[in-house]
Amino acid sequence: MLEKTRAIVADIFEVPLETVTPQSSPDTIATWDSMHHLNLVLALEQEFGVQFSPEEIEQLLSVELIVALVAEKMPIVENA
Amino acid sequence: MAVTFRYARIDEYPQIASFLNEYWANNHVYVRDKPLFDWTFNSPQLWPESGYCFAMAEDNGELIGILGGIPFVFNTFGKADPGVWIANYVIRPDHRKGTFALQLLSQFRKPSLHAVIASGINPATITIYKVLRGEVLPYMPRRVAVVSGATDRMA
Repeated sequence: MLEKTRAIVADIFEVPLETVTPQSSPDTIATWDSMHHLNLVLALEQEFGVQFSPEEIEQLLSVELIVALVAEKMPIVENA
Repeated sequence: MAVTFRYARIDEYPQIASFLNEYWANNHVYVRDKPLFDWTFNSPQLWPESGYCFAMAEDNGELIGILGGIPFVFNTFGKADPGVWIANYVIRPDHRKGTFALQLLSQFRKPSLHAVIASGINPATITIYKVLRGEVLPYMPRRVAVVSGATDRMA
């Protein structure tokens, strides 16, 4: 999930993948503004099949926070 | 950077007018005409908070973003509830990094408003409203009620 999230973040904010780390945030990515943030939310919802509340959307302010919240929301897939 | 969000007090018109003049439109009508600004944003009967229906973002006390809300009665088939039309939404260019614009918009989710409406939106911002679970309409629905006996009274 971390790798997929990093790839989405790199794509949305148009930064090289290798520069995206779990600590990447609006403080480290110059193009991370509200418009790009909402495009990121949309991409995450489509990729992982989850939905964020408006309150949660405001909290997705670093790659590691995104991964944690997505993991919390994703259904647990059990091995058959 | 410690950005905080709140509603404007009535005595803060000069700061808002100055910000509108610099970052929204030079010599805007709200800058020239305080009574019009007051009529638009100061509606104690429609706005549950004290002061203007106007959200502000501040960085260490310095104004860096504004979002006005024009209070109105949202009437759905006769059921009246409070609502706001959002207006004059701008963040200072040096603070557009991060999610301050989004947090400013959230100020109008806090009061018990039945409807928060943005009309004539820029197509580029459609994503914002959709992701925030807003309904984006291609046109403004209009309904006409024919009141029994109205034509007689108008004669």
